[in-house]
Amino acid sequence: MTTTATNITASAPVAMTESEREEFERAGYLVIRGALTPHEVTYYEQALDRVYAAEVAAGRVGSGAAMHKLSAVASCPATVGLIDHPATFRYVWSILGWNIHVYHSHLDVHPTITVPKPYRFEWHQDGGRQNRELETNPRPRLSVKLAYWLSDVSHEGRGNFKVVPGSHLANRIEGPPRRDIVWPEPPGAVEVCANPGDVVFFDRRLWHTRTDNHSPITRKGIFFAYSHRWSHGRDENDDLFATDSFGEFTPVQRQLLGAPLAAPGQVKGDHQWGHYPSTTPVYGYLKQNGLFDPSYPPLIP
Amino acid sequence: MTVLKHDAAVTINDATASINDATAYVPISDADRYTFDRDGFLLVPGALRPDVWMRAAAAADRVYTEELLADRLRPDRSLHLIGMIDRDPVFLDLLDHPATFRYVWNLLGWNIHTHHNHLDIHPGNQPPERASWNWHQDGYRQNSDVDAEPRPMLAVKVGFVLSDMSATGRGATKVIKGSHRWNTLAGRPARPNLPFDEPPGAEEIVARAGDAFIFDRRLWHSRSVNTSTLTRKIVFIGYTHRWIRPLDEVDYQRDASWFGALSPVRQQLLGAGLNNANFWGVRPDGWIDQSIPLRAELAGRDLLDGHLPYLR
Repeated sequence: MTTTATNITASAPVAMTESEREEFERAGYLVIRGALTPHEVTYYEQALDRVYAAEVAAGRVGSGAAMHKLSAVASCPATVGLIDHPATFRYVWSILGWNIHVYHSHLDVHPTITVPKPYRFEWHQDGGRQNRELETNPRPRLSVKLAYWLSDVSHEGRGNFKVVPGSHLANRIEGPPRRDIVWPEPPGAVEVCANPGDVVFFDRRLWHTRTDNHSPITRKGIFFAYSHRWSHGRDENDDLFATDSFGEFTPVQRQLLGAPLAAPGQVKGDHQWGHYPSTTPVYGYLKQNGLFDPSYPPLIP
Repeated sequence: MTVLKHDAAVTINDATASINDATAYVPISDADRYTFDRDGFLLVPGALRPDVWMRAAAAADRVYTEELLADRLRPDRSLHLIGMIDRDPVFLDLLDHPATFRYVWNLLGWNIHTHHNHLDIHPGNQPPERASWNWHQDGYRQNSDVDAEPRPMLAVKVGFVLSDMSATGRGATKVIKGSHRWNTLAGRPARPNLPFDEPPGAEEIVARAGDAFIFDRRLWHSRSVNTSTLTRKIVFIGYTHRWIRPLDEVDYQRDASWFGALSPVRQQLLGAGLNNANFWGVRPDGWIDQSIPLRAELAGRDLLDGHLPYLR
């Protein structure tokens, strides 16, 4: 299912609709069409291009090579507006609740592949060790991710995001004994086509893979994964906290980036675990806008 | 002692004389695993040698006195001291105590740390009418944020019994065996201090000083009232996956000499990590970090055999 962001940004925040929630629970993902305006696409694409150019200039990325740069906002403070963007953030809190942060994020640039790459079976669920260490079937969701598309992947073959719809409830899929053994694509796999400014919102358990970009268009995307604050961040944001730009971020943005929120006398860990809603900005944001939902445990006030 | 592999696992309960440092790396028996899976609970009789529990009980008494003098006891003169691991060297010995630590890594895997520890001391002669509804699962918001039926285990807790609780009425922890698979527990009164019927299956953990018990954080449990003349003394150490943050988040002064002198496994258990990716078990490039101390310890003993996903 795709859903459109039209008319959302101008009005007060609202939860995702029941039909969107049903579709997300069924398919494990939603495509949010037109989440970014053309002006925003240009702004974020230019910011991403600047990071890429700086990485190439610093010798960390070869000219014409792919970039997968972690800690998106610390690496590029100009992207901060994407972490609580009105067109997408409502999906995040609608699913995960108020005690959340961005635990993992990356800036991706993948130019056209000019030399053949060796085969590798890249299908995976996100969460790493969570898929080894949790015993339930299915495993719990625990995190969701936003994929902001800044390049045109409206046709297959442009490095599109490829998914198996509904596979978030499957703890495993068939795969090769070794990842370099050529293996058929999973049944039902589809490439998600998206225009610049579209966003894919997905459950971390959805089986997915990146695809190779054989088109002349450089693949550009920015990804933010959200989880509960009682889980550890994977991004490195400590240096960001000390910068001037960080002081200009909103309280909600600072929470999402993992800033320490405990006031004097409050135990740091307890705060991460949600013991202090009154000093947790997303809680205040939802409360102020009347967005709690007593029927949904992560959103019970 | 020879380190044994899964296919030759032994039960060392009651064999306190044979507990030594190597015991920490003996896989648990299939019978223990079955019992824990069924009950969400295991008693380890005689887990602490007499000299160890005497040291631990003396440390508990000393810390209680310090807290009393600092006027930090509760109004009923009880102590619930969180994050006390660095208050005495004997508490550090409990972190990877051979008789209990083998259960911890056998149930959670190698990417673990301790996230929540407390020393509980409850003087006796409490009036029975002080009983109030205290039944809970551990994990706080994990019980509202995680969407599974039942929710996953995520953590285990070890209780080290330091006073004689071999009869009921001595303030022992109450549990309902098998309740770790229940997302809810019926019977909660509208307010905790209103009368209520004890949930069916509730039992006190009757144990001797020096015994230990291990329970699944989901197991519904409650403190009980200590109406005896004995003071209840117990240390709890909670363990969870390193991608879950510590609840106590105590600053253990990692630059202090005592911290640097700890074994790499103890440093890991107390929250050390090279970087944030390391807490997820990986290096920044996403590949498994083979240098994580408990992983390296288990790998060196050929105990990462893929038999269980979390030990891969």
